[in-house]
Amino acid sequence: MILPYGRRHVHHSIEGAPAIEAQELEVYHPGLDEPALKDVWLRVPRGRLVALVGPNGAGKSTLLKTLAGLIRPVKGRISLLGQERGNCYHRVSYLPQRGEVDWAFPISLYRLVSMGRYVHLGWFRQPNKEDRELVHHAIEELQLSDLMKRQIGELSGGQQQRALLARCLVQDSTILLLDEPLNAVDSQTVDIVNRVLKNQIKNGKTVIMATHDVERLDNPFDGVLFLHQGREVTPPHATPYPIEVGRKAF
Amino acid sequence: MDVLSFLINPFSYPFMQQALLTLLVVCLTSGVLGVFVILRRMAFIGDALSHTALPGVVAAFLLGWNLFVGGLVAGMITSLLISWFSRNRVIHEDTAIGIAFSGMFALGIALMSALRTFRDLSHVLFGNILGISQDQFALILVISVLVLLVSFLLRKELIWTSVDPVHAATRGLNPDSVKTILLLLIAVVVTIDIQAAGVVLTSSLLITPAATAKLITNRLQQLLILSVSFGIFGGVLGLYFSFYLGFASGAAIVLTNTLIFGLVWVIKNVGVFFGKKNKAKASHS
Repeated sequence: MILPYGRRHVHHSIEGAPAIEAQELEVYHPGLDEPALKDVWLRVPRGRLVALVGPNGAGKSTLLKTLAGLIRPVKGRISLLGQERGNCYHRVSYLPQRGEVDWAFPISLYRLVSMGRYVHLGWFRQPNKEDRELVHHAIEELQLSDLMKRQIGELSGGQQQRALLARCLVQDSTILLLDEPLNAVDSQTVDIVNRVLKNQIKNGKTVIMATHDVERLDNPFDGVLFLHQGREVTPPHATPYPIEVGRKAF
Repeated sequence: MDVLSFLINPFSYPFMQQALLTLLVVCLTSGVLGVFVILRRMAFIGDALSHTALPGVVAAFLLGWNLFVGGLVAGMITSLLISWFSRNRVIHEDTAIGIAFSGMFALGIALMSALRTFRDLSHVLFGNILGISQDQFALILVISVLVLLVSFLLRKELIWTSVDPVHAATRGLNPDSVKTILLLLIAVVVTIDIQAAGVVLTSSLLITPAATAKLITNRLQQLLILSVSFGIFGGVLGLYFSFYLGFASGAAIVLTNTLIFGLVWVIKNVGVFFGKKNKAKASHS
C-alpha cells in the first residue's frame, strides 16, 4: 500500500494535450507588493526542449517553481499534460538551483539520487530492488558510478549538478523542469548533460530549462521564452526558433 | 579503595541505579534527535523549547497535575506556534523562536514568583536525575521508545526535507509538516531531558554529544552511533563526579559533556596542525 505525499490525487495525462500550458500567470512572493511574474503565457508541446532566458531576477526560477507546484499563482491557469495543476505532479521532475540544496548534510551521492524515487514510494516505504536498479542506471548515465558512495559535500560543482540531474531522471517523469543546470560547471558536465538531454527528448520527454546563456547548449532549443522583470519580452536580435512558446503560441 | 569498587560502589544505591537507567534512555533518544537538531541548525530551538516548558511545569504544579505533562503541553504548544508564525516566511524562524522563548520563560518566572517558592521547583530549573521515581522512569521509557520509533519510520522524510526541502515540496511532501513533527519530537525529548538536566541546562544533552560526534565524522550512521555513545559516556562520567565530588547531577553531566567536546576539539585541531606541519616538511624535503 502506498500512502502518497500531500492530498493531491494522481491522474493520468490526457492524450494529445500539450505538455505545459500556462495562461495569464501572476505570481507574488510573500511579503512583496511587486509581482514576481505578470501576464506570463507559456505553451510547450510534448517532446520539445524549451529555454527560459533572462537576467538574474527575471522570474525564471519563479516560473519553474510555479509550474512545479511550489508557488500558487494569484491569477492564471496552469495545466500539465492536460490536467489541472497538481494532478500530475508525479509526472513532473524539478531540478532546483544548486544553492537550494544543503550540501553539508552528510549523505552519499547514491542517497541523494534515490530521492528521485521517493515520490513513487510515499510515506514510510523504503526503495526496493527495482528502485535501486533505476538509481544505479541513472548514476551510470551521468558518469558518476565511481562517486556513488562519496558524500555530497565532497563532490565538485559539476558533479553535484549531474547528481541533481540523475535524481530527476530516476523519477521517470514526462516533464523535466531544470533550473540553470549548466550554471558554473566544467566542460565535461556540459557534454554529459547535453547528451542526456538529447536522449530524453528522443524518448519523448519535454524539457524546460532556465538559463542565461543560450549558447552553452549544443542541442538547439525548439523554443525560447525571454523574461525580464517577470514579464515576457521580445529581445531585439533574437534568432528565430522553430516554435513559439510565449503569448503568440495561443 | 581499588578501581573496581570505585567504579561499582556508587551503583550499589538504588537511586543511582535508577539514575543510570534513566540516563541511558535519555542519552539514546537525545543523541539520535540531537544529530538532526545540529544538522538542521536548530540548536537554538532546542534551547528555546526547554525554557518554554517552564510555565507548563509551574502551571501543572499549581493545578496539582503531573509536572511532566505540564512541560510537555507547553513545549508542544510552543512548537506549533513557532511553525505557525514562521510558516509564510514573513517572520523568520529565529525571530519566532526568540519571541516564544523569552515570552514563555518570563511567564514561567512570573508564575513562580507569584508562588513565592523558588525552592520547590529548583529541580525543574536545574534537574535532579538522582531523584527519578520508578513511575517517572516508566513514562520516560515509553515516550523514548515512541520518539525513536517515529524517527525511524520517518527517517527518509526527515533526511529528504533536511537536504532539499524545495525538492520535497515539489513532490507533494510539505517540509513544514515534517518540521512540525520534528519540533514536536524535540519538545517531547526536551521534556524528558528536563528530568535529568533541568530547564536551563537541558539543551546541552541534545546538542553537545551530537556536536562532539560531528567533529569526528561526517557520515550519518556513524554520527548517530557516536552521538549516543558520547552522550552516555559523558552522562555516566558526570554521575561519578556528582557522586564523589558532590556536584549537582545536572550540572555535572552537562559540564562533562562540554569538557569532552572541548577535549575532542583540541585533539582534532592539534592533529590537523601537526598533520599540516608534517605535510609541509615532506613537501620541503
